[in-house]
Amino acid sequence: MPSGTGKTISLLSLIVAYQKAYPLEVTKLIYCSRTVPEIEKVVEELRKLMDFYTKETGEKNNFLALALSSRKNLCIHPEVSSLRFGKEVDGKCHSLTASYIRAERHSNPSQPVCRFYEEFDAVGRQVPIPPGIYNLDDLKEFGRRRGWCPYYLARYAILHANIVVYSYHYLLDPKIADLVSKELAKKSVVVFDEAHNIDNVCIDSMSVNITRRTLDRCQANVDTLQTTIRRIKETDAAKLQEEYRRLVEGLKETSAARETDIYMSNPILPDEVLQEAVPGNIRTAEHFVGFLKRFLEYLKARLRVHHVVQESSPQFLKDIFEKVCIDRKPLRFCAERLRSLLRTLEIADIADFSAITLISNFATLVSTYSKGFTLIIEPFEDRTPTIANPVLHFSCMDPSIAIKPVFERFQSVVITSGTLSPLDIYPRILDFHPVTMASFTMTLARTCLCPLIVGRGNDQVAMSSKFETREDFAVIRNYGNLLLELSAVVPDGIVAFFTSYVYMENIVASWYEQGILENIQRNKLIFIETQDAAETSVALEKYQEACENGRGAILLSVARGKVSEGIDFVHHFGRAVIMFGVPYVYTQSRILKARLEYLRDQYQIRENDFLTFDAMRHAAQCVGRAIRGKTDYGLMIFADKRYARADKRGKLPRWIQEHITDGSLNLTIDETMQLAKHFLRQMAQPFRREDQLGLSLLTLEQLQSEDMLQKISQIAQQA
Amino acid sequence: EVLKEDESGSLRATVEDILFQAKRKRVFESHGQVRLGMMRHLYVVIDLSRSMEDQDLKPNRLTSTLKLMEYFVDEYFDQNPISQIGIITTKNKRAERLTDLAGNPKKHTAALKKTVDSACMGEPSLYNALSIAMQTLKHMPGHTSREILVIFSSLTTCDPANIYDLIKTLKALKIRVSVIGLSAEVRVCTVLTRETGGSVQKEADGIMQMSCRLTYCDLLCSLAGSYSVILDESHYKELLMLHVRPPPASSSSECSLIRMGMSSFLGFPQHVITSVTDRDAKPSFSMSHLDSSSEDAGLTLGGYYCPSAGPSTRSCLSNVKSAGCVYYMGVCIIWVCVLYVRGGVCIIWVCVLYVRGGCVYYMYVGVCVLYVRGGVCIICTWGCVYYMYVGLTLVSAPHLARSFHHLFPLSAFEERPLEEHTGDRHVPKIHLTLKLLKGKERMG
Repeated sequence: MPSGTGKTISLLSLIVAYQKAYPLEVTKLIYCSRTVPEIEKVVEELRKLMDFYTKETGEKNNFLALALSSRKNLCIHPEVSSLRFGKEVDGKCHSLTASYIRAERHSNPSQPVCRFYEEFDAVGRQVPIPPGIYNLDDLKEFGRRRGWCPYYLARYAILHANIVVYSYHYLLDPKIADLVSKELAKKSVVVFDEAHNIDNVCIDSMSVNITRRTLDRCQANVDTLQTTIRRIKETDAAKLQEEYRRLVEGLKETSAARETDIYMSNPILPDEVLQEAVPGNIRTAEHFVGFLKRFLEYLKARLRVHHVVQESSPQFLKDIFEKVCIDRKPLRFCAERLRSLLRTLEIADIADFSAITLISNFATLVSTYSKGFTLIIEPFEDRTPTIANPVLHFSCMDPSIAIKPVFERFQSVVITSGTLSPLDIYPRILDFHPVTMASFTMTLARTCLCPLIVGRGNDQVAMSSKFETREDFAVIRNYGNLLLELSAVVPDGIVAFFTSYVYMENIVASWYEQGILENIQRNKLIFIETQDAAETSVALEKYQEACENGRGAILLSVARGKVSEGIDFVHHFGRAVIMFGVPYVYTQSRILKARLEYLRDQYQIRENDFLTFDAMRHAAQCVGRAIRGKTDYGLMIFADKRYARADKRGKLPRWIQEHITDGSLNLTIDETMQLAKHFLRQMAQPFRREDQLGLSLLTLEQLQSEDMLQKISQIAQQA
Repeated sequence: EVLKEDESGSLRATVEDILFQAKRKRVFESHGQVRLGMMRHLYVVIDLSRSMEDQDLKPNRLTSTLKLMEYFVDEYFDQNPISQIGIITTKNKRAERLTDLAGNPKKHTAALKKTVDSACMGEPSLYNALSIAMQTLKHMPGHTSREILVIFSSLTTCDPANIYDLIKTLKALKIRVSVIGLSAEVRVCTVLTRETGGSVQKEADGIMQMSCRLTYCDLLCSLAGSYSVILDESHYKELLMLHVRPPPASSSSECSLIRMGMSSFLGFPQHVITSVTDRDAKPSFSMSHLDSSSEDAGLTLGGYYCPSAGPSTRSCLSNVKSAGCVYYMGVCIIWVCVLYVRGGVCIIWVCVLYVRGGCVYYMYVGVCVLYVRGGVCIICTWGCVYYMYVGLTLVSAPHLARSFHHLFPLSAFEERPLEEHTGDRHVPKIHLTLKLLKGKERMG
């Protein structure tokens, strides 16, 4: 179902009702969404639900629900919040709020600290935040009123909140999850909304890419560490001694906590590590730095290759043992040991140490997991074989590793999305057994979506972005004609998606030469998405302006790009979406090949199945941009003859599939225009609330009527 | 188009179906007591851009549109005898006036005929067309309706400035804009029609209090400018003909040709007793004489006094030349004197009484304007008094006859299944019924 059809509110009302009925069994709802606007939308829906509860029951709402986002979105410190990038904000915040900075202030009052954090730290933890629904802005407002830091307030408040809404990185990315979500109660319900890409999020959160630049910065970090250690040794040797003692005792505390179920486990820090003490050869700070140096030199040597190397984790460990005598065991403790060292050394700006943290994470991962990961060293990029740019990809191929702790810890996990299709592939790639699986279609009072598969031009030349024909002059011209004709028929905004930036550039250049662009511009303005985020947002803004004032516009963008994932084209902003070609992922990439191989060996998923699945979910995501609600309408044009095949079509979400009739397969451009014209006229007829009544909108009487109840139970059985 | 089966075997609502349903809906939701503006000033904007050459209407959009427009102009003057129309065309980013606002259908039809040969090119400019129409319409008197009907074929508009500013101005001037789209729903037109009709929202609230028969939504729809997109030729004609019917008047429009001030408009006659000898006494009508059919229907001094009569009208009244009386459907219009006559327009002093069941209800006293056209004297629509929440519009007999079906629409036929019908299925005296119908048509 596309958004605006009530997915979120159905889920929320169901779970909240359960929470109200069994407050002891379900203590918390953790709702994970993808982007900040989506998070805010969820909270607004929740607010409506709670208002309804208050209205119907007359009781005052005693639920605490809040949204959590990064410091960048929550900071109210006048200087810090004005910074543009999330990393800068985090770094600056840390330099104002770190514990030793604040300790230093006692002796040196001129040391700047964040007054909001100070205030929160002084009183905020004792006074519980009053029940209510807090969106990001509400939190900021509340923080301003009380003079508390909203970010830390929210992070503290999620522990006893009834409903938490945040990005799913907070749960899946082990680095962040450890900080934020570790202590969330076991009796929680976790919802992953917009989860069609969840496997990629899992994989990204566990993968590490190391370039030569990373290593250089790492080198600098190691040098800083060394000098700091030397300095501290002269001034405060006891501190290092204390750390050493702690390390001998091992990480017992964490282990105890994990056993008693207080913490969620962290996939980077596997259970076995907790049982043992940190090995002797990296226990003292100097030894550890020496160890890091050796490791770094080894990596540098590995990056000095002239051909592509691909090996598994055990191979890598064997090699490192032979070359520089680094054992597996100390490597596993690397991440934890570094964290401890950074704490001991009281280094304020953690952001600077991102490089060395990355390397240590890599060390831990590579030594922990012998399966599910692969290591690829590429001396240059495929497109520029002459420029040396060595990259070490340590890539996760098994998304289940990252999501496993979530499944293990929480009693119910719901995975949902508008474009989760085909359903059965998700349990396989995420390696879990679903309790129930259901795909719902939507009830529409009128057929407000019109998927058309255009396979041929008017000259009968097949249209396809297939590799063999993508340079074909006739194909490009036909694509151009399709867009041209559509621009004369579709009002306001059209969004066109290409399979990649390179392909888009080629096509647009060729259209320019053929004069097609000029003709299109007579009908509508053209905007192009680029890889530059700032440029794209300007283009988007102008695009919307052109749609708003009747000029009409076309936005050329790329599947898998920024536009295809997060941006909605409501009503007139997207009356038609064209998908030029099938958005297959770049298949020559070695990481992808390795992953496909892994999927085939471990989960018996054929390469082709996975590739098609991936392409179709992105295509569905792109065309789904057009319809954002029941009153919205839009054309969905799949411009590739391959979409007509059953294996492709069958992988589209059910709500799109249902509207693809035999009459909308393999059309020529002319036929498409006829259908489009008819559809747009039909949709322009007045559509009022009463028309929906009884079909997609029910009054209470209608809902309670015998017929409707029967119908609902029927649907439930089918699902 | 007829009912057809699509590939999946389900029946698709055809254009015919949609038309029929819309018609039924209109009948069922007749607006009862909504006041209709009878005196209209309408500018029709015709898009002559490149897209008019599209052949989805036969032979092409332009020819089809112009033909329908000719028909529309005739119908328009037939149903709105005292209204005016003007035509504006827009192409090539420019807009120009084809005909000025005028009441002669021949002139417009001739101009339309000439346009058939003109070439369609470039893009239309909604902004320019609307601002030309606005320049003329804003000088039209407030008691008449100011309307623009845009026939928009293109999907884009090329504007020299921000059209949203213009929409605001139009809204302030109470100009109602309706759009008929020939291809698809364009956002800017949606906003345009919604906004320019938006000023009537308050008024809708007002009317709601008076008549609970209407649903608020319908009312709002009927008052706002309409935006519709055609499905095919017959639907096009249907949509165009909807604009022949006078739109509901907005009460914010002034109700009189002669501005008498708000207090006088709402002022209800007061009973004043004066002696005949008093020179300053205001003339008024004596109720006691109403029943007597004598020529001078009891014009006396004293009695009921209407606050609207200013000193100038009073002095005019002193030389009363003639007085007459018209009864129509229980409404008695008494004209007392002629104040002013020039070029077919005459302003008279009238009194309107409503007689029912032996009781006389006082409806209105004031100045009224007569238009003389083609030998028929038309009392123009201009005043009404909300008395007991009944709005009465003053109309002349012929005008009333012509617009009778607008004002008092037939109540909707009740649909009943054939099975329930018990009596004879044949209509016995079909010839007679037909004759009657014909007679009615001639009247209409």
